[in-house]
Amino acid sequence: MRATLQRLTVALAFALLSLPAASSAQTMFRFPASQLADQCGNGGCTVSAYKDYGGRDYACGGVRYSGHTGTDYALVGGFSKMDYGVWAMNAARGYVEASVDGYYDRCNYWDQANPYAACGLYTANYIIMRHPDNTQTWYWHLKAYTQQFARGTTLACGNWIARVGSSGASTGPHLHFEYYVPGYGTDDPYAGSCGTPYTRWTAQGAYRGLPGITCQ
Amino acid sequence: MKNQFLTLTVLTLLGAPAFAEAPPNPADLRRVTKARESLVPAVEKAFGPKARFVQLFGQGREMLAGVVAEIPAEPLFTDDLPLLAIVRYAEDTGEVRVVAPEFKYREARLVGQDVALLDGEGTLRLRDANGQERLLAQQVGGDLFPTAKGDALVATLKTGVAGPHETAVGIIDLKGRVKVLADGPGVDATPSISPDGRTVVFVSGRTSVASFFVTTVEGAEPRQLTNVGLENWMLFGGPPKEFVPPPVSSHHMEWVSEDVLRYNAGGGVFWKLNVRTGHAEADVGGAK
Repeated sequence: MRATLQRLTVALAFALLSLPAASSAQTMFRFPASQLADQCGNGGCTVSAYKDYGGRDYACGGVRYSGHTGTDYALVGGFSKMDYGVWAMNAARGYVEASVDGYYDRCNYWDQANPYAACGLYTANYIIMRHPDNTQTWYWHLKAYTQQFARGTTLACGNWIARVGSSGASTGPHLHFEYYVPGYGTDDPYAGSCGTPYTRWTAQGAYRGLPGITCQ
Repeated sequence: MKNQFLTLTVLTLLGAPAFAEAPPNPADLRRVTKARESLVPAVEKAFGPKARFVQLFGQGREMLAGVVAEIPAEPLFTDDLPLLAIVRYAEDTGEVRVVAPEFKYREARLVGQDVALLDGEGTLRLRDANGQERLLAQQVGGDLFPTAKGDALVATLKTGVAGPHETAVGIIDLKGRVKVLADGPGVDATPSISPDGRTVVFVSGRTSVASFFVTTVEGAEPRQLTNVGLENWMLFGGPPKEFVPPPVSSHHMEWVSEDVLRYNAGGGVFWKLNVRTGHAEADVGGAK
């Protein structure tokens, strides 16, 4: 009996040790763009596509498209709003793991007068942040020449990291925000009946509304 | 009032990045205008009144055009790119022929007399003049660019590693053999192969600024050609004058000599790059 208890204790200890270190300190996110009144506040941004769950979004709605792996926040006002400038913000503390800048940022697939405005799939300006629990957040289609931080820079939550643009595979100005878990793949920060049970937002907000801006 | 306007204009231009001042080359604008004259009525006739051509693949006498079934009245901004039907357009005669009528393609490119068709799943097929198709490769990302001989094409390849930024460039021959030529950290994309079939130029994000690199068809260690020493934060507020903008795709690249590649840096502003020296400048055209 005593030997069995010892074996169980050892097994339990190993089981606890093998749990991800981050499980007790999961990174939670704020909305990844500014919600000041002239930015995404006052209806300046809208959700144009959630992550796709085989034909449905996390809330069993249809705001998705086939194979979409992140969430798209579109600038209401399009290119004029992009020219004005809307800041993408890092959703949690961490460091800049990867970034690319320099690509044309007015890609547009609907301009019949200018077929040269349609861009290739791999020409987006982007930033990838690595967070303390080893997860990543991705910020895609950024406006050219607006990245504020070098690779390796450690940031507290909620810095203006770059402006929202339309570089790469983009039909107009929007921020593609993606939450990535190494070893698992792309996950969804939204919780809902057709998605995951646990939200990664500090305040998820209403369906098609914007998440809150409180940092973890 | 007039003086204030002029001052404001001058200050605005001075504050803009150097390359943004480059207007599209009038010859390119004429090429698009001429293409539209043939393509717009032909596309409407073949695909219906709502269909529109939105992309050109190739830059020369023979081009392919991508057609969408309909342009949304109020498009939501996403990264959901439309899938295309493909037509062939001859610049000298204005003739337009439907090549692939199904709206399921991401890209297309002429390879000799055949057409390489890339679907939305990353499957690359070759269709001959009789409409016979055969599989060339899978996990192809895009940016198709054929050799001058028409015996292979270079392309961006998906690597299977997480994220759209982890890509490689490679060469695919007409037997479907795929050889990776460059696969650095991050994006390696938009390749082009020189007329002699020896030099491959591509864009990499490995330095944090999208820059041209050059390798060989054997896959030699890539050498950085442009934007050497620049990092992303150095571009903030407008790039330095030595900055060379990367292309937005391989679709409109053309070699104007053995050493000089002409490419679309965005929106129809073309640049010329000497792939031996790395020298590049906007190709704004002459007075004519």
